[in-house]
Amino acid sequence: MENINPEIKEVVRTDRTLEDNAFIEEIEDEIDTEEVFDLIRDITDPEHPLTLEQLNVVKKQQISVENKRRLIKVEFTPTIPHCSMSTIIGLCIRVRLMRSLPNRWKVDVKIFPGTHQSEDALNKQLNDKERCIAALENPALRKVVNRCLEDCD
Amino acid sequence: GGRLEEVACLSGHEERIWNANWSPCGKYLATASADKTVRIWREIPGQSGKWECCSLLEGTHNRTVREVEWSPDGKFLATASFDATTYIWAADRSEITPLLPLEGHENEVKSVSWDATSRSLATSGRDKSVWIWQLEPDGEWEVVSVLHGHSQDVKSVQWHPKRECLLSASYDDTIRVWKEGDDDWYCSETLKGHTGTVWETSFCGDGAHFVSCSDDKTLRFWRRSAVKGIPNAFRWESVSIVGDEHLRTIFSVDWNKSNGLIATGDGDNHVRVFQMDAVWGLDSDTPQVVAVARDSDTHTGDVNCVRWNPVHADMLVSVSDDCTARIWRYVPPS
Repeated sequence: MENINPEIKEVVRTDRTLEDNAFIEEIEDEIDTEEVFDLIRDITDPEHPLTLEQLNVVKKQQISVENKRRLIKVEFTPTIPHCSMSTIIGLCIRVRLMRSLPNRWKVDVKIFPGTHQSEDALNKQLNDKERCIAALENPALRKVVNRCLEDCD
Repeated sequence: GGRLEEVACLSGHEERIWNANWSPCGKYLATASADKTVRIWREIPGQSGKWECCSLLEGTHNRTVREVEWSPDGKFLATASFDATTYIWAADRSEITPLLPLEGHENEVKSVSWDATSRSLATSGRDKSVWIWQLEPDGEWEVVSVLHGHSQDVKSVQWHPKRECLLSASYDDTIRVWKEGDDDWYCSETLKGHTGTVWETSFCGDGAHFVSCSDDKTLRFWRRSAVKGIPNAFRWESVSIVGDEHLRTIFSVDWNKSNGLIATGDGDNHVRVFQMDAVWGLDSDTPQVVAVARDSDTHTGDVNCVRWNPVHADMLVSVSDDCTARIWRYVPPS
């Protein structure tokens, strides 16, 4: 384990009001940053029994959604700048969104600028769909990803 | 401009389709999918516009089939798979049957390409290497060469139409040109210019130009130029760039060998068609390439591959993450 004592964020849940939900159902094609955040906040860290939200790896303000182009961009912050788990975390975010959203949605997963020493290489890898898909055909890796996604939903 | 009319939509694959290629006679279409199978499709005889899956090749690969290509003589089919093998199939019988696997790549094979003679194959993969295989008179396939040079996985290989050279496109953002020397194959040039993964290359009919497509959202056109002072020597130079048409990664490009049209498939679900401007055409120092048609957002996922029919020059196929293959007819401006 690399980061033995990560900073943990107090998580406060605020349920959406009824009006909000009704609004979302009506326009089913529209998605907002809150919905995207809800999909990924409970992904478990590969090393700690904590969620990506608790570890401050994902934040609502680091998600952007362009409904017209059906484009979602998620930036995440590794807990330490040389975190070797960043590929797995990025892959988990991508897989979670891939499995939850219709495939006409385009997803870009990136490192929050300046928070990892191999930022460019990681961004390239995480956004190469062939590499991501091939990685998921690897049984050992798929098991790790599935375990991180167990507590979602 | 012209337009793309949808002729047929082929459903049957259970997962994303990565690649498609036409038989040399133009009648059959092979598609390769993440569902580990290859499907062969044809237009039902006597029923124009109605297509059927006439053959399902399954049980041979145990992971994604990444590419499928017919040999130019129509006798063989080759399939490249993430299971680290390339399979050779006999295609000149009533049924397409697996002959033998070509083994050697360490892991995922990402591309396979036949040379013009149908006797040599090139493959490439995640292990950063390019392999050249040759069919021996006894029916065995020999490894002729294993080419190293790329620093990252090799996304695709493409033979020159007259076998002058072999191109490989890579995640390392470069294209390498390989040639046969006295003893062995060697890298004669490394072409730089793209600022992202190069996904695919395609030659024009006479092999004097080729086009490459990339994650950097551009198409680059390359021209073969004589090297001054050295007879019969040439190098490739980038002559023009299409940089303002695609919004996401361009996964596939195919140059129509008979009418010169260029089709692309991209990560924004689109199929597009380009042509050389009549005034500033191929012979000019700065050929201009203009967009002439785009589909109307029919695929609901990335378009992974586009291929023109070798016989019916206005017919195009596109395959997608949405698990369908679509046949299009290009209608030129009236």
